[in-house]
Amino acid sequence: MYHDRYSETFKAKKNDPQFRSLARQAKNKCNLILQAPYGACKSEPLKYEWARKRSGRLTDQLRIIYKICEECQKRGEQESNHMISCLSCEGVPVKTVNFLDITEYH
Amino acid sequence: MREWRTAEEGIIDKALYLSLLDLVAHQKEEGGTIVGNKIKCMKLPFLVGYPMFEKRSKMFNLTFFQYEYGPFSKHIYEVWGDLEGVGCLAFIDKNWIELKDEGHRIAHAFIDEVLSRTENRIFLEQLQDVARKYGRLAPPAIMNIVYNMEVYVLELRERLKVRDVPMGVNFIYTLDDNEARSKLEIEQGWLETLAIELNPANKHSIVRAIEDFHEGRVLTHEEVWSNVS
Repeated sequence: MYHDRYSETFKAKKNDPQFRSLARQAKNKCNLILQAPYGACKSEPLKYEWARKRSGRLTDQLRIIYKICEECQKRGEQESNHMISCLSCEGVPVKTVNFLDITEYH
Repeated sequence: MREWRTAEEGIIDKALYLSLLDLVAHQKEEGGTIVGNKIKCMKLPFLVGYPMFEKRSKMFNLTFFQYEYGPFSKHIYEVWGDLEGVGCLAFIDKNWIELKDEGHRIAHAFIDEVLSRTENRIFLEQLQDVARKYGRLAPPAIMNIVYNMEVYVLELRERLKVRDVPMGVNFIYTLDDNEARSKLEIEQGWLETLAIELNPANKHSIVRAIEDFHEGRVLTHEEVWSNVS
């Protein structure tokens, strides 16, 4: 099981009236991702400038966007790419999933 | 055939449209970034889409019908709104479309990684063909070419020049997968990426989320889920 961290934006989205009814489902999906972040919820690695981030399915119309520290550190790009790096990796277990956002698929 | 698009088809249309504008912009001798006015930028995807629709090749999913200045698609307005919202294009004097650097960058990546694949070459060639033939023409010349095109109007079951098609009648419908003889192939990872990159609300939200991590606004499991059973 991976560790988890969340952005404030993720929490705000989870609490948004538009998504509030899906909170339980979102929690379950996040737990599935924490068990198997590379395969759960039809996980897809993103492309282009969003590389090293992933999209997992919350529903057909909604996506959970996240990144895995392990994947980021393997690439060794956490220093050079501002779209990837966190404030600091120090003290963060390598097996951590960082949940960024809930987005709409359209 | 239908007049509505799925979410996925809408995503594909935005990426194809951006690629078309990029290829057209490269036709300009002075390398200008203004692609054309709204009328030209409405007719260009029709010039790409109609021949493909006739061949039952599923590429653009835009529906076009006869309106005041010829073939018109409401979907193009959605595309313009989203591409403007993510900084790929800008309107000058509310009528002229300028492709921004961000639009060029995304278009190049999409062309290189998706449209240049062997199975998608016919679709890229169709975009390049239209850009080459019509990219440098002024809007009135393009209007004239479109008005004189012959099309088969499904609703009326006859071939007509575009100028003779009655108002409100459809030229192009969205093809269902089982009606298409060929179809643009896009891997799911690219669709997921475009759903972020070309959707203003998604893009701005994720940029904010990344800033949260940069600036230490990071929450624990408990802080997020304590009120959810």
